[in-house]
Amino acid sequence: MAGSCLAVRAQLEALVDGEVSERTARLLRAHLTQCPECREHYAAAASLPGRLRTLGSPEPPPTLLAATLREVGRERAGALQIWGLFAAEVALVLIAAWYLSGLSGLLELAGHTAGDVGGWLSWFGGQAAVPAPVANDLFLLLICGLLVLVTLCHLVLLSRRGSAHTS
Amino acid sequence: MVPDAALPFFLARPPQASSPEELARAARGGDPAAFEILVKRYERRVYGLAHHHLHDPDEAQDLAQEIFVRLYRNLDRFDPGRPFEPWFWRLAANVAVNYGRRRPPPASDRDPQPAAARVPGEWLPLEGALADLDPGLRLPLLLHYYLDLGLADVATALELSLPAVKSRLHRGRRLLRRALSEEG
Repeated sequence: MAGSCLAVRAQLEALVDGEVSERTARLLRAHLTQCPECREHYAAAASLPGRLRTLGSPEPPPTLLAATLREVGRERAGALQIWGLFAAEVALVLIAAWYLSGLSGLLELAGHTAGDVGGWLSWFGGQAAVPAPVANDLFLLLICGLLVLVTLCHLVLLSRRGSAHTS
Repeated sequence: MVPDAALPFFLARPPQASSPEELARAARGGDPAAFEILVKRYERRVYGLAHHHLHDPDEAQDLAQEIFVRLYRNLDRFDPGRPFEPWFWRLAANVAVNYGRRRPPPASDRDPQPAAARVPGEWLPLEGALADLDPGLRLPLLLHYYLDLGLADVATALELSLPAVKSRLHRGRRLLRRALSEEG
């Protein structure tokens, strides 16, 4: 095989796509008229795009559809779970906000807490009886505890979902 | 004529003949039937892409499934005013590229036997030669010719410049031609 054949064959794809200059195309075509082997290569190069376009599509496995829908169903359920937790968080925050009823509520809560702490310290020092817990404060504590728990669950779910999306 | 009582059923289920844009819009709105029709409509070509890219039936199914799951996750990013297919195939190409990066090196890297010799007997010589091609050359060929994606879309999907895509297509076709002429 002549060196010119090698050079010609290296440019056949560009020639097929019309991406060589007019002068180069003329030179290549002149070579092709004289060289039957390179002509064969040109025919192969020209037919390849069409052959690639008509590559067979194998039958997908019958389990593909069901497996995909199952996975998507899991995603949908995960999204519902996340929004459900968000709704619970909003509800708990609203209860806590309503309970605290603004600045006056906050001051009242601070006063109660200071009183409770003082009562417990007195009991610890043996100067007073066991302080009776204020029911309202216990309720608020429960709400805050629930809020922390739900938020933690939410964060865990979000982080799992985040890592699944990036993987 | 469709009786009135049956109307809600027909309205609720997207017809098979709906355009992919309509189906994607309905699926985005939370209609599982529309998403199922989309999967059925594209599963053959998506699996074909995965099959020709990975030449392993199990991995091809895994990749095809991942493409559809990613489609579901990204439906809210689809602009229904634009054609669905270029957007979807870009997404599919993206998943295929990342899947290739994530998985362990292909068996052909460890096995001296060429992929063409390992693929099933019913494979055409072209499929065997394609399987032996470097994935960096194979994927642009599959996207542009097999999936009929425009050069600009291939470039976007593979994060390459247009000249780089053209160069890979030429190189890939040249190597395929050589492999096929050696076989013949």
